[in-house]
Amino acid sequence: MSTSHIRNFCIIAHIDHGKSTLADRLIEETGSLTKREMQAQVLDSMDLERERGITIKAQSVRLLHTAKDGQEYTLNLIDTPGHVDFSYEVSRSLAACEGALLVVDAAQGVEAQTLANVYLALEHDLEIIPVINKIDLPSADPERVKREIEDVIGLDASDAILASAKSGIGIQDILEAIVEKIPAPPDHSDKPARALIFDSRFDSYKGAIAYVRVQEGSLKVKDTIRMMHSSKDFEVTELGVFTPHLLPVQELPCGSVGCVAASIKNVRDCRVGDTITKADNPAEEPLPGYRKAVSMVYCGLYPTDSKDYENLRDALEKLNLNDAALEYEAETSLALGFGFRCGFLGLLHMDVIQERLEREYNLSLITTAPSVNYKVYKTNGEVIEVDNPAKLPPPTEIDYVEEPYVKATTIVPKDYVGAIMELSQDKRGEYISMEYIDESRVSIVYHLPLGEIIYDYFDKLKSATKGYASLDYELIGYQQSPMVKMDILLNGDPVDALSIIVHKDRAQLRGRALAEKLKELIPRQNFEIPIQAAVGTKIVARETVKAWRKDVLAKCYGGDISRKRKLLEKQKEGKKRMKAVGSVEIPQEAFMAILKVEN
Amino acid sequence: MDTTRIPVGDRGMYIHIPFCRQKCTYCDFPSYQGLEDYFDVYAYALRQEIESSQSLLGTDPFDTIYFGGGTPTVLSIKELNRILETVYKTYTISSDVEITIEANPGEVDTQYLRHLYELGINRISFGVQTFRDDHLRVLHRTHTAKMAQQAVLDAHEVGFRNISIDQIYGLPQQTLEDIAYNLEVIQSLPMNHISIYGLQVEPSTLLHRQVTDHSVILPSEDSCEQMYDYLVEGLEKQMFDRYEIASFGKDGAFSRHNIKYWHGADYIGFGAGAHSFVGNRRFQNTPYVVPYIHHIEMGESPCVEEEIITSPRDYEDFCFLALRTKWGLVPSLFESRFKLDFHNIYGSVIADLMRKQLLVYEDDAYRLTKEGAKHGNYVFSQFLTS
Repeated sequence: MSTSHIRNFCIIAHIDHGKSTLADRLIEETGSLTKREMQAQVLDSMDLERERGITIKAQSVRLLHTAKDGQEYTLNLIDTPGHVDFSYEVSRSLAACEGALLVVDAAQGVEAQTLANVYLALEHDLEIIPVINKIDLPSADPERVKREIEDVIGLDASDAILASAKSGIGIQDILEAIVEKIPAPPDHSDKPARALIFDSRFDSYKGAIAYVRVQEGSLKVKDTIRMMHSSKDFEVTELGVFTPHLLPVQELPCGSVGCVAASIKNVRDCRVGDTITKADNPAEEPLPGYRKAVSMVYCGLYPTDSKDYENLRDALEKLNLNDAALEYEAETSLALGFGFRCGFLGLLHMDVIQERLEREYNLSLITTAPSVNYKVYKTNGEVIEVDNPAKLPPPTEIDYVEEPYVKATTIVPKDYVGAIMELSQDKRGEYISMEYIDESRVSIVYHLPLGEIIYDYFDKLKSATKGYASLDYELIGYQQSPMVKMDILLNGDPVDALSIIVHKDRAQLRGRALAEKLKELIPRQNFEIPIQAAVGTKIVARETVKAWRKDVLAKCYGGDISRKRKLLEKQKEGKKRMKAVGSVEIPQEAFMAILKVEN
Repeated sequence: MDTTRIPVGDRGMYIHIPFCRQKCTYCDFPSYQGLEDYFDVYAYALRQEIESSQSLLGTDPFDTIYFGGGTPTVLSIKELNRILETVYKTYTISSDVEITIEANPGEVDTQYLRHLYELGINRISFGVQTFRDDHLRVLHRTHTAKMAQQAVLDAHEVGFRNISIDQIYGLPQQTLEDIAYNLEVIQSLPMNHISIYGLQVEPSTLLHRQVTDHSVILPSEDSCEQMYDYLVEGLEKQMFDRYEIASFGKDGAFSRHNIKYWHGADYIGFGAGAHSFVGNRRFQNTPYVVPYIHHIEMGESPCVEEEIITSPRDYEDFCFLALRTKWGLVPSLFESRFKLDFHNIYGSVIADLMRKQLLVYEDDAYRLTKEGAKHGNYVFSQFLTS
């Protein structure tokens, strides 16, 4: 079978520009699902995705489309996440495509994340089809958006398709453009098989399932396949495509997209980015992978109940299969016991993982404050990387510290330029450049310490610009900064899980704010609890949680013991989410207090 | 002290009269104003319930009868007499029975009190929440401070030797001086029992609405705590013995009836909203007057909620209730009652609470320290294992 009737494509869009709605409409239009079967936004299948309106996991769906030439084409839509945290996932999806729909909101125009993803697509040599969506909005201005696409991105937008996914306008034009403009995958069906694993998932019955794009050769049921990374062999038990329901097939031909089940028990044997070949006729080289995920944010994850440690490890292992960007390794905290240091693509990624662990694996977790990865140059010439504040060596052993910097691009209406500058300056940013995108919008570039962005930069940005700003950032390297470790002492004892690394000049301010916040969060106990923030031996802030108050004596009406008991049960329930550290009971949210302080 | 001699006695009987001339702003108990038309028919239903329960309750004696409310003294002496006659006719009543009645000052004159005493009622508990008139008015109490003092004197005069009052601290605008004044009045009156409560704002009370719309301002938590301390200390100075977290008695004048609640004795409640604890069953009658009467008229049980108390709840309840009293939690009683090893279950809880100086162990019993009494709910909640 030739590849000439296959098209592999993805959709690039900023959050809320209508990517999921467009995907739904394409599925509906090609009759893959009847209207009745359509659940709003089919592709966002995780609960979390639907609740937050974001797409986290790459997914694929096969559409059959009879084009104007009367022939039937197989269109494989590979979904991509839109959030800045997940550009790594985008790059995985892009590696499986030959083309992309660039969806831009007809009213809002080009946003920072759109830009970032378009550049990624261009790096992968994808054919890009601009689609201007939501043209039926009263505020739509497609001509201006076309100019923006041309001026800012440098793409020819004269053929941009005007569409409204919501109202079904332009959907046929899009399907035709996919067939006409996006190249068919190159036909390498005669070569030894090579299939790129761009995603994977664990199924308790079928084992690890690989989502693949067959680049060369083909895969058939009962083939013995080899994972080129681990050199392990497996027999294919099932092949399938998504319509979007799973449809079993006997073969995944060259150029196609589908999934492979091969009784792979160990999730580590099915790594995203690995290449599948056949054991009897192996390819010589694996396919080039793609940009490896770089963890930007680290935090400790600990089970509230130490008995859940094993469960947490199993859960992380399972999640890791679906989310290669998640890194984790065991660590111990004096305060919290056994847990894991985890690396994430960003704060949203961290949130999502934490929520999935709690929801899907029913774990109660304590998350420590996020940190970035510091390079510590020691006086003995050694260089170590520190992503856990508790591990920062004592000052006497440190020559200097380097912290990660990002290039942050913000696109914002011009009225908010002042607010962005003030915020970025406040976050130790270095102004780089500013450009007008059109008469009303500006793109501002700052170099900022990543460590400042992960605190409250997003929230501050949103409130300073009434939500109009869009932000994208990429790591640009490390710069020397006078960073110090700030310890938090509760009742005189340092609590390692509360330590943070902070710029020397900001230690006092942040220490005060943190101590104040902790005072709010730590409930009164039967003794007074001093809270101290210290840099080395110097106390920079001090607060006190007063001893608890008395109970209110309540009348026991006519022997109503059940009422008394309910009150006690409520009180007991409140205690459950506390972690006893030494003699102090600390609620979960205290470990994240640093994220909630006002600077 | 011989801790195995907790004055629990036999079983107790509670009789609820759910009527008040006027509902207090803070009250969320089953009590209604404006139902005067139902007094007679309610009392009749009550007697029917008392009679018809005989077959279920057997012949074991009762050594306490407690008329609670609401305001039991809204009923006529004749009506109360009929109820007591029914009780005596139907059940075995110990010769040394303690019969308590709750009463509102200002609604009972000397003659009425004398009649109560003649009925064999030997303990009276007045709802005197404070001796300041302005505070009484805010709470929608129907009497003045002077009437309250007079009621206590009158009760004593007609022969009552067990007289109790309630006091609430933390009232709107209340200060430490007010508490001091209340203590002075208490000292001057011939009473030997006091129950103290903190004012609590319960949902769906008038007080709740008043606090929500700021028409009533409550004292700060700090000053409430000061009032509590002052009151507890003041009563102890007057030789009141704190035999239960909220109850103080002089010269052994303890409420025998209430002790049953804390030490796992059986009690049977009659009337709307009354609670019972029999064996391993806790049950409750409907709190509404008309449905209660209706159930009785139809020959149905007025019980609307029933729980079978199984392990571990039975022994958890036993522990946290026993800790409320000065007799405390006696491991040997626990073990003979539940056939379980006390320290095996609660060893670590006890150790932790003793380390925090909330519990002490003396004379074979665990008891709350002064600090423990202040934070009783925390201590009690530690005994819930499930």
